Amino acid sequence: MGLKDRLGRLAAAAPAPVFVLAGRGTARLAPALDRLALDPRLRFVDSPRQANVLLLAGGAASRLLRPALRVHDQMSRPRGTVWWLPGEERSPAALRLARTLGLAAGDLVDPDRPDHADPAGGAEAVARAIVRRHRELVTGVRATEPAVLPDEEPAPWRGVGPFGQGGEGMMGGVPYGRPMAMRGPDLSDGLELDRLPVRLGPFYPPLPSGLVLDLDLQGDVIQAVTVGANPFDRPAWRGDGDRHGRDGDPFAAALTRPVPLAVLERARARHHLRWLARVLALLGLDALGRRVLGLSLACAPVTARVADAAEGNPADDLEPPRRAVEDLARRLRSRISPITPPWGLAGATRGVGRIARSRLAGLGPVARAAGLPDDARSDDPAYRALGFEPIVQRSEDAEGGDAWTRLLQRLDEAVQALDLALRAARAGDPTVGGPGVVGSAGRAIEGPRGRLIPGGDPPSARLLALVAELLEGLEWGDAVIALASLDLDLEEAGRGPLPGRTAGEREPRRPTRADRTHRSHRTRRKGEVA
Amino acid sequence: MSGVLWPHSIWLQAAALAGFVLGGIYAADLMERLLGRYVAGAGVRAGALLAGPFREAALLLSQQRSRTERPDAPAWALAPMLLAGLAAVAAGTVPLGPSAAVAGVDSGIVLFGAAMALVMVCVFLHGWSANSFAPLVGGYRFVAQALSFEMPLALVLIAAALPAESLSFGEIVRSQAGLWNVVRQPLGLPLYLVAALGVTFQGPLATPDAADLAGGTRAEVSGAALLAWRLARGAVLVAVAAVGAATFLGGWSGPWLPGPAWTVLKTLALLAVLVASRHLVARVRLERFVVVAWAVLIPLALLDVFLTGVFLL
Repeated sequence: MGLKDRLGRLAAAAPAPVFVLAGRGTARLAPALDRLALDPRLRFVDSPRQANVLLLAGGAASRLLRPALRVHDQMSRPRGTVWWLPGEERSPAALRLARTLGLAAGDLVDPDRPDHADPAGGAEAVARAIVRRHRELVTGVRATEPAVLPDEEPAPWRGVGPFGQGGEGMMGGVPYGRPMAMRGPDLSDGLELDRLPVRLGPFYPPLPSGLVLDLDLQGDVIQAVTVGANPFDRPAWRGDGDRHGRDGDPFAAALTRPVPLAVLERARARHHLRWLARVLALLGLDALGRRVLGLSLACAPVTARVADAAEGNPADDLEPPRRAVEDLARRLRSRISPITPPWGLAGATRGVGRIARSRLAGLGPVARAAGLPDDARSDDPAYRALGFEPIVQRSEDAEGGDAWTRLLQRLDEAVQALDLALRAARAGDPTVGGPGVVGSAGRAIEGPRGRLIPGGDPPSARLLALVAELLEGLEWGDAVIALASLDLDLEEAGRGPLPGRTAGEREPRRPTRADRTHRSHRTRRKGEVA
Repeated sequence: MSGVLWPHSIWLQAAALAGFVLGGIYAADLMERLLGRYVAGAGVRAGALLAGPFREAALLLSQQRSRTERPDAPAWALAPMLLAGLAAVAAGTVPLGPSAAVAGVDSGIVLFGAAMALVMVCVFLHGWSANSFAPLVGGYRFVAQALSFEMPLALVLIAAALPAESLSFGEIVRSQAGLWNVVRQPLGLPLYLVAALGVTFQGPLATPDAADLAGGTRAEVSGAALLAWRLARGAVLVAVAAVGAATFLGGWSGPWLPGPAWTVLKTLALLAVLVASRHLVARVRLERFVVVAWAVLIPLALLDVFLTGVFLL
């Protein structure tokens, strides 16, 4: 056996380096994706350069196709692709793409196959497909995938301009295909320095999936931000109103039908802990993040599907994660005994991402972290019967809230949600929501990102409107943490108005062209969230 | 005793030093993995743990190098080699045993300090030459970080040199025969460890390679080039820990065991502290670190020098 074979066998035993691209419908795949993130046979990497296997998760939104192929071509060789494609997303375009990439039947995993229907089964099938692909690649059994896109210049420059290199005289133009960094005044002191134009996204791991940012940078300070079009935006007239619920969001489902309170609160705890795991990883504490991600899975409703979860949710399994989360919350908060790690979280997040209180109404944990007692659950009889009181951060830092108070808030709310789920199990499993309950004006469901009002914009759409203003003038590291602290989901924002009817409306009507124009104006206006 | 354990041939000494550094890199990687598994609450399989670093190295060797748009290819290839060279220079100044270091020069501190100052050039070169956003910003970050930790690093080493009346690490170890510097100069080791985290961009000071830049200066690197970069960084880590052991923990001195064994043990102890920060301390905000370094760490380091002078008088 040659040295090369030996190396190949040794490399095949290493965890497979995977770069994940989240496409459409990943909310439903989330539990299984998280299991994959914790799988010791795989290692999720944060740069496509270091991955052997590209995991495409979900459907191919048309505006994400080209960026996805660009990521594919950026991977170092040997490279391969595994596509986790739900049956409903198997469009002709998707299958054409699979052929372009040269994917075999074994590289396409369907999460809806009966043996994959539960998340552990689906995760296992994908993990096996990835490991198989990884081993085939490093041992040379299967050839590397060739580049799909042509290797072109970012902008035509040859022969352009007085010197033929794309520039315009001394300054300006696109020398060698890239826009030249032109001078501009610095935001803080007006000093004229070079501004580097950079476009990031939609698959830049530190940003929420799908977010595209056009930045002007001086060093790593953001001078100007333009938020790109949301690639998940779907025309409102295509598809039914219950798109939110169908994608596995129990909170949106509660707008149209009753959902057990325990299911909602377990989903809330899971959501907040999943968020915390991501923020911890962004702050360099990925090992602790993995522990929190494991806790979040333990909190999840017993199965991934809302419909199945409604059938029963024994709460006995909740006590251990509740204790662990409470312990973590206590450790982060304690100022008198700073002997237990993790250290430095407060220092890394305090004062980062402040937003004026007046902009935060209806934005759930972000609002409550700023001291606003804004919680739709306070008006719900089912919650009141369980003794619900909204948690609000009340320190002097809470003026406007920052990433640190948002972190504490979500951790506290995760503990509270698990408490509520436990109490609900003892109180005969009450339900929340349904058309009768939310039919009257003013009633709403409290989602993990904020207030869900029937027919209204999802909270992510309102959070997205805050982004440009929030990032201006921040250093890049702070900008990433500030963005993460909002908990944006571009797919939720792109699904359009929430299901359910507001009072007075007879039945959901198909929006007319005039409605659509009106809506796009409305979502663009910034002050709307207030 | 040391004559038996410490060879006189310079080639054998260099081989022993290379073994020391490579072993240190392996040990540091194992400790990081072990603590990571513990913090994550995941189980540990001894076989997978021990083989892990080799498997990952083989994986990187099986990957091809990546290519960006118009990189500065010579500088990109040079950066890891330069960093490894600086690590070798720094490690060469460390006296493993009483007889000599490989580069047992009279002014070991100056040589070590010069090598550590040039780490800034390597990391910036590595980030800049990829011609890409994240590596470039990572490079900027390291320059700001390095300008902040260099002064405390130099000052605590000078404070350790004062009682030894020599700039040689060998004399500094001998000057601690009665009492180690970690006790005699209580400010020294903590300040040195902060600077050591900075120079090796570890844990809270891993700002140039941070997750918020999707890997920063190493974001565009793959394959053997990434392996070379990680090995070079590991070698700097081992060298810095070994210098810390010699300067503050009495180097080779200790009862029962032969000298080099004490050097190894003390180096491992400092490596454990440096590596543990990776999973226990969140990444600092660079702006804050710069302010703290100039407003707190440098004055403390000056106080360290001043107090040492007062005690010597």
